[in-house]
Amino acid sequence: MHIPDGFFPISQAIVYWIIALVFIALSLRWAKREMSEEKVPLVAVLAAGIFAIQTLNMALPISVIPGGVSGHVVGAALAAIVLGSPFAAVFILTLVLVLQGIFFGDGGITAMGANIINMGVLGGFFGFYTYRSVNTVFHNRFCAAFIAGWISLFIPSIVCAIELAVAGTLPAAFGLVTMGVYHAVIGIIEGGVTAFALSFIIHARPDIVGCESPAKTGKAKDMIIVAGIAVALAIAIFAPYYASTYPDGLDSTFLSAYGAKDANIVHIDESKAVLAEAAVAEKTGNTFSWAAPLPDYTLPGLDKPGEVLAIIFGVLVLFILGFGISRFITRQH
Amino acid sequence: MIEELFYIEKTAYKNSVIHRLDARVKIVSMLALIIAMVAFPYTPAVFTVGLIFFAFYAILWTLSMLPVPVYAKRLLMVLPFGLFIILFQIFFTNRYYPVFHVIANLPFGIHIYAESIEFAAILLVKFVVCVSAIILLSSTTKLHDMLEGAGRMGLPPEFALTLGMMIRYLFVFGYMYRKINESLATRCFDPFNSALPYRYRIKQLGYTVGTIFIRSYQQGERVYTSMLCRGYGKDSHIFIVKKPLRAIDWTFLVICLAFFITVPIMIWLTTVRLY
Repeated sequence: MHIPDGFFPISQAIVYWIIALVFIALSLRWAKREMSEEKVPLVAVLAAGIFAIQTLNMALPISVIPGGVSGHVVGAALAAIVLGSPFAAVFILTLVLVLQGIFFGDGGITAMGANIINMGVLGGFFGFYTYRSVNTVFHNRFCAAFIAGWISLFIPSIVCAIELAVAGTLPAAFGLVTMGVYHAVIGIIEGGVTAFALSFIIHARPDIVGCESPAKTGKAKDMIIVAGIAVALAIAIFAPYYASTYPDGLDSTFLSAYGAKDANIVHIDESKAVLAEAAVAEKTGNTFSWAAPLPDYTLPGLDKPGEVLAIIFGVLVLFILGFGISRFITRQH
Repeated sequence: MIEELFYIEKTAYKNSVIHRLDARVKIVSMLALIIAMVAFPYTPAVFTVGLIFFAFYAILWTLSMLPVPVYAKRLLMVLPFGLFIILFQIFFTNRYYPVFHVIANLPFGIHIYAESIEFAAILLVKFVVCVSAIILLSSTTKLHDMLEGAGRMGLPPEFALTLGMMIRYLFVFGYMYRKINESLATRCFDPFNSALPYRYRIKQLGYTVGTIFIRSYQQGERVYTSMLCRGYGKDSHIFIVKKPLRAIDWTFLVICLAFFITVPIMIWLTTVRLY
């Protein structure tokens, strides 16, 4: 999943870098506040350990070439769960990715921003909150860690495919299917290893595990998070299949006013609709238009699955934005 | 990947004109090469720029006195994911060409397009040139020199310290990784052995990961305590001595920057093309 240089136009690479830098700054603030500034070297040494962990290869559970294809652990969910904050994963994965990019050439320099967002930010946040919520609701640490590990690999792979599709270097349908399926399988390794490693760490050093206070946040809140994610994803998956293709109220009024559609009949005269838009542009003098990245909630080259994925992508982006804003507001108070 | 760490660092300790250059000069010029290559639009002119850059790169590699197999081995190590995307390009259309011509029809309605092959080649050139730049940088610069160089160029001290700590302990964990692998092998455990139940293999791997995690955490605690004993506090930073650039460093930097900036611009503005 380490995207190399050359697969993003430079403009998109810069945008990803800026987003990544915001999260790196936040993770640095976390390291100073939560770990206390002096303890920063501890996390740095731990990052070296995570780097070693990423080297342990394992055969895939399902493989066309027996024993031939291997996968390894990223460790974002494990780091976030043990250290008790998603920012721990951002911090550690940033260090690991910087070293992999600069020293080994694994993952590009201009693409590093996107790699940090995918594996560090998304992996850490989804891993951490999935573990905490599932553990609080179902009281099963092992299952929670497994699901968290799996999600922390699967979501970044989907976002990685979307980023490459937006860059125009990997077709959306092909990228989403291959990346999604491959990482859904590798996710079993990530999930399994995260679960076993966590249970091992909890037995050996229960004092260092930070994410073991389900009662602190309140079960109701976590239930809402789990239910919220499930409902949002369910709506995202099923909505496009049930959505009406008819114009909404505002569209309908506008089209009727210009004679492109009869008020009581749903048929739209496309040529009159175009004329209506031109007439409005002429009257108001406003010719501003904007090419949306995901026009009409679709991904270019995909039909219904494209709509599903566009909505899932939107939900995830809004989820992260909402979380960020709520954290910012609560900090102010 | 950690196994290659020792190998790469060994090549970085050799002595040549390129090895002796200041780390800052190498970092800036290789970054310039990567940015120039990435920023160049997805057009066939990439081949011309890529070839000229690669010829220049070959001169630098020769000057570094490193054998070509070192380069080949390192290139092979990082190819898979990029190559996967590049190889599958030929079956798909993309937004960078208005018209696509089918040159081969395969079963299941799959086509190979002439333009897509060209696009795949463009991606390959960009990818290989960028990765080569990193290979030269890390094969000729010691990790610690690279860190000091970045520190001198304004890398925030917090990051210089944490990266420095990480680099120092990477080698410790490299040895630890080796020992753990050896001890697993002496117990005849192979994570790729399909005769063993999958759950058992995952469990063992999970426990190994847990062990490394705890050992690195405890190492971190010991390091932190011993640093405190030596007077470490929140205002402590890595000590980097000021080091002015020598004439040869300046010359190399100016030549590289001029080359990596003017070549793409000239090729973009003129009609000089190799393809």
